[in-house]
Amino acid sequence: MFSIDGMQWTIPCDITRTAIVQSSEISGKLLNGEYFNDVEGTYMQYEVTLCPNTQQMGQYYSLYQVISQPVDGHQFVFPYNGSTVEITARIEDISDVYVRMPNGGVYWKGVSFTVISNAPTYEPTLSGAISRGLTPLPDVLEPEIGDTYTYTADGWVLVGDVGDADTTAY
Amino acid sequence: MTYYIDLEWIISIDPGTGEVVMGGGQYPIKNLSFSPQVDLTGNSLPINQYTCDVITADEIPVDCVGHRLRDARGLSWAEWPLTHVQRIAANCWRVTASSWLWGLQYTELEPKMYTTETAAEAVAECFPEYSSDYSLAEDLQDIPIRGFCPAQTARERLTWLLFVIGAYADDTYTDGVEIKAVDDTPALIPLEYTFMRPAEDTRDWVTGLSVTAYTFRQGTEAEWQADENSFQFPVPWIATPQKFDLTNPDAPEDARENIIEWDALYLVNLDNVSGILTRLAQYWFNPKEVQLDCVNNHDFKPGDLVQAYTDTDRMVMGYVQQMNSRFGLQSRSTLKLIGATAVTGAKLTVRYTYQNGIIGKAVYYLPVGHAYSIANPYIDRTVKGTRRVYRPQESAVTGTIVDGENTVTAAYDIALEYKGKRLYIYSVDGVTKQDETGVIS
Repeated sequence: MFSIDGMQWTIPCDITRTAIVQSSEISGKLLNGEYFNDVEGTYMQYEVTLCPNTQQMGQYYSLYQVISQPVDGHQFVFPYNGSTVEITARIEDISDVYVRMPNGGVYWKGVSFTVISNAPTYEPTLSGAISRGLTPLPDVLEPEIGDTYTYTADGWVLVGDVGDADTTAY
Repeated sequence: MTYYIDLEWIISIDPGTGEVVMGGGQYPIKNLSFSPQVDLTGNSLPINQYTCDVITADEIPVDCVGHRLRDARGLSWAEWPLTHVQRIAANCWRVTASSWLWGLQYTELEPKMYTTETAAEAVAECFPEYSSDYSLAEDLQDIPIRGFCPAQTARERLTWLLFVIGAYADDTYTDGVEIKAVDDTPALIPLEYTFMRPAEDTRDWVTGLSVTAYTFRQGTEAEWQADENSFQFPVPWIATPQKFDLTNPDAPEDARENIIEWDALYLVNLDNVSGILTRLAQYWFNPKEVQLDCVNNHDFKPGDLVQAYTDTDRMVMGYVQQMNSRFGLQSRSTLKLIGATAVTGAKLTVRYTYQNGIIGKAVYYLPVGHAYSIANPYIDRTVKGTRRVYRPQESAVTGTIVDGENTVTAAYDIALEYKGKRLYIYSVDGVTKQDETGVIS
C-alpha cells in the first residue's frame, strides 16, 4: 500500500489524500480588485489510518517504532493516480487507541498519522507567475499556415493542409 | 521559502604555499527581517541591516567574506557583511548583516578645514578601509567642499557631506554603497502590482527651515580667543555665521510654528546654502506621506522617486524613504513615500480591432506625461461554437499620456481558429514553440 524509507507495509489501511496548493504570505487583494496569488507549490498530504488484524500486531509495532522516531522526515511512496508518488515528508499527529475487551484481552487499534510533504510536488515557475493569465491552447508542435489539426485520443493530430484556409486575407 | 543567503569564509591558509581553503555555500533562510531605508533630507545616515535564520549545521563564523541575500530568481537584494552570528538551534543560526556604512561609525576622523577639496576627495576620506566598497556618482565628484569639520566619526562626516552635496547613500541591491543624487524621473508602480489599500497620512506641518551658512577667513590668535565661532586648526580660522530662513508658503496660517534648524553644520557656505534650502523644502514642506504595498520584483527601492496609485483613479508621486520586503515566489514590499504630491492622471483606452470590428478593449488610468508601452495580449474568444485566437500585429501600443481622453487602437489578425473539432492555423509568423505568448506551446 505504501512504503517508508524503502520498506513496504501491507497492513490494511485507509489513506486520505489532500493536495495543498500553498500560497505564500505575500498573496492578497490588489487595488484593481483582482487577487494576487503567489503560489509556492503543491504539497501532498496523506492521512493514514491502519486497520490491522490481530495477526499483524508485530508489523503494527514495528511500523509504530518507525513513524514515531524524532527525525526531520522520511522517504514515502504513496498511491497516486493509478501509479505512485515518492515524497520526502514529515509525520505529524500520530495517535492510536488501546482497547481492553470484556474477556480481558487487550490490543492497540487504528494508529493514524498525517504525512505532509516537505518539498512541493509541483512548483510554479517565476516567469509563468509573472506573465500569468494567458489561456493554454492545444499543443501544436510545428505550426504552419494552412495546417489543420484534429483532436483525437492521442491529442492534436495534423490531418493535412486544407486548401480553403485563407492564408492572406487576415 | 525560496530565498537564500550566500556565505563564504576562509577555513585555512597554508603558511607555506599561501593556498586558501574556502568554506560556505548557499543556504536557505527563514524569518527574514529586511527593511532598508534612506534619509533623503541628509539629516541622518541610516545603517541598514537585515536579520534572518540560516538553516545549516555548518559552523558560521562572523567574519564571512561572502554574504548575499537572494530571492527565488537568484537576484541579490543586499550584499552586506555579517555583524552578528548566534546559534539558536543545532541546525539554525540567527545572523545579522549590516550595510557597509556600519564600519564608518568606528572610524574616527581628525578635524579638518576644507579649502580646496572636491566631494570625491572628501568622501574618500570617510572610507579609508572600505575604498573599494563605495562609488560616488560622476556628477557629484567635482562639487567643491568648503568649510570646517570637527573631530567626528566617518559616519558623521559622511552625513555632513551628503547634506551639502545633496546626495544619499544607497546600499540596497548593490555590492557596496552608491552615493548619488535623487533621480528625478519617476518610475510608475503599476495598478495591477498595487495591493489593497494604500494609506495616506499627513505629518505635522513644517512652517519653516533655517540653515546657517559660514564664511571662513584666517585670523589671529587674539581673534580666535575672542570668537566662539572660530577654530584653531591648524591656524586660527574665524567663522562668520549668516542665517538663511525659508518659510513654507503652503502651511496654513493657523499651523503651529515648527521650524527646523541646522545651525552648526560648518560645511554650509554662501555658495551651497540656496541649493540646500531648495532640496530640504522639497522633502520637508510637503507633509503628505503614503504607505503602500506592491509586488516588487527588484523594481523599486529606497531613494527612488515613484508614481503610485492610491485608488484606481488617484495617484501620487513621492520618494521611497523605506521599504519593508517579504518574499514568496515573488516579492512584496511595503513602501513608505514621503513628500507625496498629487499627480494628474488621464484615461487611456486601448481598442483591439480585427478588420473593422472591435474584439476587445482595455482601460488604464495613467499619469499625464507618462510614456507608456503596453503589451498587446493574444485574445481568445469563442463565438457561436467557434473559438478564435487573435494575434496582435504589433507587440505593444506606445505613446505619451495627455490630459483628457486618450485612445489608441491595436490591430489584430486571426492566428488560430477552432471549429467543427478542427484547428486551423492562419497566421503564426514569428510564433514559435518558445514564444512567451504561449499561444502555441
